[in-house]
Amino acid sequence: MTGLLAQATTKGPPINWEALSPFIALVAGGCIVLLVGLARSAFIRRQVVPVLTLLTLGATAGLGVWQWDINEGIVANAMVVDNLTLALTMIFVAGGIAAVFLSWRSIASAEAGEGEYYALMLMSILGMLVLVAANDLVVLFIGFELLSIPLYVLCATHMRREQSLESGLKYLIIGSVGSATLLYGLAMLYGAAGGTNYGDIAAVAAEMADDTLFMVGIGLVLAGLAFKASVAPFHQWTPDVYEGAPTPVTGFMAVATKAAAFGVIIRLFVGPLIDATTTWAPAFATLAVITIIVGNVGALGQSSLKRMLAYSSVAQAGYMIAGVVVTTQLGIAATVFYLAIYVVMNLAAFAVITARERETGLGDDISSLYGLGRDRPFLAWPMTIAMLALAGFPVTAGFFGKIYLINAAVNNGYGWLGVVIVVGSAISLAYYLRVVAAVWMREAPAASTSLSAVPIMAGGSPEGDEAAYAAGREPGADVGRVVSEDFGEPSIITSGPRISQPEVIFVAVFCALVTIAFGVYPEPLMDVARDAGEALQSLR
Amino acid sequence: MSVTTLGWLVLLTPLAGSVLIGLTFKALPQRVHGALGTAAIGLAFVFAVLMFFGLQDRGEEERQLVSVAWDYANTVGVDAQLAILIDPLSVLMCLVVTGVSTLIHLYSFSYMGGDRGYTRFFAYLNFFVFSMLLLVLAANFFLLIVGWAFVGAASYMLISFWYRRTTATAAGIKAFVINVAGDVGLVLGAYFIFQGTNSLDFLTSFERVGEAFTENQTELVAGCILLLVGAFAKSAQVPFHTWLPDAMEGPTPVSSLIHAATMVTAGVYLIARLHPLFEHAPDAAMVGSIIGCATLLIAATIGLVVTDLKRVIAYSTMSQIGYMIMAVSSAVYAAGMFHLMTHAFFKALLFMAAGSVISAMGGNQDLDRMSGFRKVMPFTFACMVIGGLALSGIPPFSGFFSKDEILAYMIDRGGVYLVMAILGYVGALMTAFYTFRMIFRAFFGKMSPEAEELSHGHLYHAPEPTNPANGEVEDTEVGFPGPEHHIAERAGGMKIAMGGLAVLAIVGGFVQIPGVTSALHDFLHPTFHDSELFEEIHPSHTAEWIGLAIGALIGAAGIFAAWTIYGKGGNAASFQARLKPVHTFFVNKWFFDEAIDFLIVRPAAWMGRFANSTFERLFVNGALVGGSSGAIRALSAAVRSIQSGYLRYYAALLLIGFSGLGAYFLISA
Amino acid sequence: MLQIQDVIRAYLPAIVFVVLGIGLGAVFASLNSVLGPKPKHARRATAEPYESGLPSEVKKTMRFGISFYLVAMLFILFDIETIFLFPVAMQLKAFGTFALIEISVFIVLLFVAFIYVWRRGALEWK
Repeated sequence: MTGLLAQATTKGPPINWEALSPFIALVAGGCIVLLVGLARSAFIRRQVVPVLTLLTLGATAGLGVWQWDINEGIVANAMVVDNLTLALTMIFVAGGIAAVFLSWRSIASAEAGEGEYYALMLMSILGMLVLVAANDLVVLFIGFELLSIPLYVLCATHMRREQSLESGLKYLIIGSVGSATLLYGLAMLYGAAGGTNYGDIAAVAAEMADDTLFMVGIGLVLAGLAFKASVAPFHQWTPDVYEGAPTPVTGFMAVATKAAAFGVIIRLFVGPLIDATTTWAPAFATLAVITIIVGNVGALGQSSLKRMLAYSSVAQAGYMIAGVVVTTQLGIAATVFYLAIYVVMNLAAFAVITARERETGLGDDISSLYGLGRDRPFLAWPMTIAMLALAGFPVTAGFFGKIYLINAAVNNGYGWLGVVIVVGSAISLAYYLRVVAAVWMREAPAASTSLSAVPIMAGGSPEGDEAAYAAGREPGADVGRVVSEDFGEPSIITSGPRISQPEVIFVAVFCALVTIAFGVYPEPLMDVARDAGEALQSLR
Repeated sequence: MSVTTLGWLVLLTPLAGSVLIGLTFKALPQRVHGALGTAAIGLAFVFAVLMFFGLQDRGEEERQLVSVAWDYANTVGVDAQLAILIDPLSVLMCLVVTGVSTLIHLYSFSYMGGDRGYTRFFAYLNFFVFSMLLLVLAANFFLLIVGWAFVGAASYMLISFWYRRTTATAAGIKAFVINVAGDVGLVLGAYFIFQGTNSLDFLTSFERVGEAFTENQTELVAGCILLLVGAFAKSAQVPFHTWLPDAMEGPTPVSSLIHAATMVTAGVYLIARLHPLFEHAPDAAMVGSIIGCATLLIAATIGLVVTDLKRVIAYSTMSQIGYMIMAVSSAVYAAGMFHLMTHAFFKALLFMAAGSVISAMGGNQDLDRMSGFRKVMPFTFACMVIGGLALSGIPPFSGFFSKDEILAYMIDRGGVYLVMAILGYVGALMTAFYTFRMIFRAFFGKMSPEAEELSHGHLYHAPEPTNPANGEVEDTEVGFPGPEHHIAERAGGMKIAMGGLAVLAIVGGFVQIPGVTSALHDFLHPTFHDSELFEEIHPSHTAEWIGLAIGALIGAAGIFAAWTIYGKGGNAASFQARLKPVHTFFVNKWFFDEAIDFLIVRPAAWMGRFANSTFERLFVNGALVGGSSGAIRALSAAVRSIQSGYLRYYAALLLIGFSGLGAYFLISA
Repeated sequence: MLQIQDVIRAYLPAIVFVVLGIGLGAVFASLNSVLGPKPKHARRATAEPYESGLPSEVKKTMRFGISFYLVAMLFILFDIETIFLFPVAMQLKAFGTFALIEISVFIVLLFVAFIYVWRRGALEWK
């Protein structure tokens, strides 16, 4: 009798629907956005769809806040919703919201069709969520792919531009290698542990710590995840893909993907593999050193801002590894804190790049920033603040981010890694300050300056955007054709007319303000990060 | 409103004023900015007064309040908070700072009229008051250092206010450099204390100082002496004093506010504020006492011979602050703070009066050229005399009570302090002498051409504006003094400010009359409740009155001596000739500038040249910079060269990476 | 001991299936050549082993419409859907309402995809 009852209750896995609600919101939102995007009315596609996307993201964040502090395994313990998951969810959502604002009038979203574009973005965020909530190797992989595949497509959404397609294709191919590596590693871990749940792995981690199968599995998983986090020597896709992808997508990818990759690295390595720390931590720390050096020296001398930021994101990944290898709650908190501020610092920069791309026709070249300081304070200051924050200047959040990471590293015997971070930051000043100098100390080029044939990436004028939108009335029609006719011979504008893009400027200014606010008063964010760190209770 | 709210308001009002003036500098006319600045400080004064009453309403035990606005960096183990400490000491300082500042703003409202930098002046002045209040309200070393540095910056900006005047910019730089040396001392000292007590908070570190350090432990003494370096630099004590006379290049209200009444007393406040540390390190406190005593003598001797009107008062300021530093370092806190307060009144008044005379001279400050202004500037003269009498310690003026109380308390402490007290009386004699030498030379005797002109109802203006210090030709555009001059007799704002201060200089001493009232002593008690010496040193009323009587007699003697030499219309040439070597020595300011130049500036310059020509070129530029930047450049090229854009190479590198990681794990397995 | 009849009985359905399959296939193939319309000249397409689908032998320069892949992929996608439905349908009683809800969610998601594909015009042959 009791056996029967037990059987009756195990018919379905126990599901905590409330804890699952952020996931459900994203799925539902994604479907709705996709369907609404089919509407014939251009107004609905251009305005309602982004709003719906924002609402979805808002709902996800709200549900996440509602579930704060629940800390439990859901769906038969295949996923864990705890403060770490939710804190990272907030970061993803923040990145997503900013990306929506930046994409609002972009050519990329118009070419791809708004519904698809935003639905893909939502699905990618869902993938990130699944990835960091995963408590099972299979779920981990599903999340990983759900995150990656929409991004491959998003990178190529600026379909009429060769670089965008190249970027998407490169990302797809190299990304598949990464996925394959990860999958291979996961299989080996499964083979060694005899189970896919993190609990199974944790149970054997201590005794298997020097087992060949297990260790090679760890190595391959590490490589696969390091790929996603753009850790050298698995970083090479980063500059090419960042440069080619539409800027809003680059911004989204830079911040959210990074956070997701670090989320899963924390979840897996500082979770079930914690007992094998002595084997993986030295390897990871070595990667951190390589990453910091490669990222920082690679960024020197780049004239494309997106490439520069790509290398900078490589370097920042190196800094954040320090917070992981120490395997303490302090380290996790420092990493989460850094991820959070990393979002705002980078988005401020990407927003300014987006704005200038649309205005100048110089693309993301550093010369597009010339003369900004004199007549565009609302773009000049956010860029300056973002660069100073990335370099780690005091009174910006970046300063505290680095301080916490170094503090965490030094507190747990990785003092030398702290030194490397400081040296890396010193090198990084060279390229961050170069941008600041471009903003404030260079004159805007004269309008007659002839330019290399850099194609205009996004709407050069409101009229052009209107034309593009008008052409997009038919779903699936050649949206970009009209655009490319319009811009095939771009009327090159250097100093740039002020086109109305308040949402982009809003993102820039808002992110800059947040950067300063947390630089002056980091405690509230630190409290959140500390909560996230405490989710991993096994740690000191 | 609670006391802490009022404390924040006191702090924020000047900041708001400064920001508002800065933001609206194009939108509003100059006079409005002057009014705005004055009103902001006046409002801060009102809040300070309310704060005073709020504090008095509380019980004796509850008069030390800390209000924390936020934790800045708690997580990294430093309790650096944005917090203010409100207790009788800080409230007294707030009252003095805002009160005197209000009057000086009022004075500036008229005095600076016509200057092309009028708006900027008030923005700076408000910023200075904010910084000073931040300094005195700070509840921890962190904010103290911030305030300390802000005050230094404000002082620099205001000394160099006429920024096209070469002498003014040079003086500003000198003041800034010496003050930064002091800042370094303060920061290092704070670090020493933090190392021991593990807290930046004042009250917490005071509590822990007993456990953290043994009495006179080397670290504590070193820390306290470093703190004293900060105090000396800010308060112009020997040997960090040379910037103060030069700082007189700034506009007269600046000299009056910053370099007499408020900023330079920050060192006194610092020692009083940190008294538990100094009482635990008596050796360091002794250093403070000795330096204070030395300064009061040295400055007074230089004051005897200086011929620049404002510099006489500047040396007098140094000397008076020497008294205060000596007092608070010798645990004579109440009297020291008392003198700080009265000095703020009468010294600000003296500077204002001097400013009025300088205006009448068309901007010239040379005493040798002034004479006979008594008749034509009766109000200024009266104010000058009131200030002078207060400074000389003549009853019943305020300085009489405060200065002589310091000395009476020092005598009561005995021993080496007795010797210092006697030297203090010597200083008092000189004080009275140089003060009235100045008054007699400027106001008595035959009327100078400028005074003549004024007696005909016309204010003298130089035909061509020049820098009085070196005769360089100037114009009256921004960066130089404006074309108009204002004297107290003709400007309401100046008159009100000087009148107010004159009244304060007369009655300010009545708060603390031996045997009658000890209001200030009682008021300050909560701050010094943990000090044994605060209550212990307490001369009898008879002893105090004797001390006061001696002080009054010495002051009168000094004035009489000045009268015999300068007042009766005679000149001092024969007197100077007799004391030629001493006079030369004093005129050259004890050769301090030369000594500093020889001992510090020249070796430093030599080091700099060596570093620049040899060390920098060969080692730093060649080996370090060249080597490291070369290495980084090479690395950068390498990284870029593998970034070929070809997927196959990327895949190859991925593979190498995988293999590397795999090999590592295989080997370690 | 296993009787031969038992073996035959056990495999009988398979045998019947194989025989019928071969038989029917042979019948239709031969019927086609007997009854079907005969063109005057043999056409290349009808001579191919498979009348629809990819040509079995192509030159390397051959191009064909992308629509083919699109439709084929979509076909597989929605075809597979059915396979997932079967096990649940078989064991619905055992799993209960939970499985019903789960599979409904699954179908709804696919339905969304279907609407999208349809409205986007991916099913039209271009």
